[in-house]
Amino acid sequence: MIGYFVFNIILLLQLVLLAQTTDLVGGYGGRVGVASVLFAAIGGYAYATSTITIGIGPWKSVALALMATLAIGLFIGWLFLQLRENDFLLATLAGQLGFLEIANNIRILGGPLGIRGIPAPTLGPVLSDSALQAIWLVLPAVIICSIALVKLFGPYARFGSLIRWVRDDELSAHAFGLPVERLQIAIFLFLSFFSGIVGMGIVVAQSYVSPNTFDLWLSITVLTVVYISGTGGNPLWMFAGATILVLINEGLRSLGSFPELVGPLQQITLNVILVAILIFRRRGIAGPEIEFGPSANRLE
Amino acid sequence: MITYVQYFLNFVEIAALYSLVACGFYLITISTRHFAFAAAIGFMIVPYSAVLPEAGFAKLAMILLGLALCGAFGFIYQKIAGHLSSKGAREGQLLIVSLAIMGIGENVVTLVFGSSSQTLSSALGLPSLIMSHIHVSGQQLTALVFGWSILILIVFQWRCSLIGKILQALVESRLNLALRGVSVSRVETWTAITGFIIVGVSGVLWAIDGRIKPAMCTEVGVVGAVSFIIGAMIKTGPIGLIVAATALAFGRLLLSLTLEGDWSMTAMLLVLGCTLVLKRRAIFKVESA
Repeated sequence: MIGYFVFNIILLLQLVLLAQTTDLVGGYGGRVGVASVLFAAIGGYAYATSTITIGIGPWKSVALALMATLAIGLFIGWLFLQLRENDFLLATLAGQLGFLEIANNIRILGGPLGIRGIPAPTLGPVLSDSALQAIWLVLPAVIICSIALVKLFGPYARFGSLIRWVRDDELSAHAFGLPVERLQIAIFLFLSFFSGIVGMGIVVAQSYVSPNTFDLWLSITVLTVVYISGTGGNPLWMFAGATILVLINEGLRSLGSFPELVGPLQQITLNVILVAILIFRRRGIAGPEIEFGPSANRLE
Repeated sequence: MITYVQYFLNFVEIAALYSLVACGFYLITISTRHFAFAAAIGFMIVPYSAVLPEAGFAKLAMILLGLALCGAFGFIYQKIAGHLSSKGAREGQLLIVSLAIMGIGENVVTLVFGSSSQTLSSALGLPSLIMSHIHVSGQQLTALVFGWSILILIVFQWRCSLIGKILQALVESRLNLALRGVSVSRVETWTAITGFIIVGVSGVLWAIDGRIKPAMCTEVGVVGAVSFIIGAMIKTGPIGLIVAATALAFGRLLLSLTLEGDWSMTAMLLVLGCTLVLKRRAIFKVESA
């Protein structure tokens, strides 16, 4: 029973972290995409390959995976942040699906069968199930990420104001000499770092990784959490959105006598919620009304 | 030699089906003003409507009913997209709605029919064609003839007919079209309906000579989006789309012959990513309401 409870807490924390980082680049940075799931996949696969295929110890693998995620994040951020709106979302989606296809076809990444028996890095009190050790990876990350986001994007925080300025009117931010590219790359690296940790948390919790672990379904789930909670608002509201989602998923899982229906029903429910929110209440639970200021882009 | 001819026939067939998907996706996208991944549902509706009847007339009737359902879905989808645009939804949000609707469709099909693949190969009892040791099945012949005939019709309509001119005007400027007294909303609605029906036709042709499964939704959406973006760089309208879709089909064939595993999606996605980054100025900008 405690194991089940801890597993759901891990799931909740993973969703919170992915949603917070997605909203950081989407709600604050003005580029909605699924980059967080892409970097979770990169982090998860890097950790799994490092521990199982190469045989490096768990903690060294964590460090290696994070370095790999940051290096790839720097390159992809530089490349993709030139894009706007639709193009950014499409590019991140293409990146995610493309990475999973590569993982599906390359033997070193486990192919369609994936990589099994992934060990957990040991830290904190040892829990009954080694998979539950993932909480010691994800919990500190969620705490640090939440505090950092609240501090950086609070009502009077200078960094948050600059990012919002870039989001609302990039041309005038350029004109006033703001280091627009560096600011955007900074938040993208923030996203890649914490998403990489979530990816490792996911593969440690399941002790297994395959292309299905980070599929389109996870991206839709993260976007649903973001839009339920309210995009561009207080990052702590992501806990509310993630809790609602986990409760709905667990409620649907109770259809135990029809196990083959559970997966499709969960996905239909989540997609319906996402569509309904975007049609009827785009602010979600607590998102602000984002008013885009007078823009030199629009005056052109 | 015979093997190469067979490969060539498969390539021409896939090129036709990809081109139909691309044309349908294009029509839906210009009418709803965002990349309409939900078009992939049209690909599923028609074949799965006709899966249950055994064969013969009932199956054909169900295919026609499926096409009508496709049109109805296109109507509803265009209205939802129009409503969202009028309420100030951003392009990214419309795209997310589109992806979510695609997810709903895919899972409803999985729920009703299961995740295994289905075929309509028994729908038409056409005889095979044998020409000097080259065997072309009746199903493949149907897909080839119907597919390319519809594409020629689409190109002809686009270039010469009034409907084609109105669609070109819709791509260029809605305001201009409205000032000339054309009901833009009605044109958009009918364009979306036609787009869904075209995607539905490609779905049924695919199922007649092959197998379809719910998981193909993503592939169909990606084919549509990639052809849309690359096609716009080559030439506006169906010619550019057909060239782009044919190139994708060729890439798929080449990769399947040279590499182990299924790399078709990877190639498309890499092309999409590179195109978005390198040639983004040339990309047709979907108008924001």
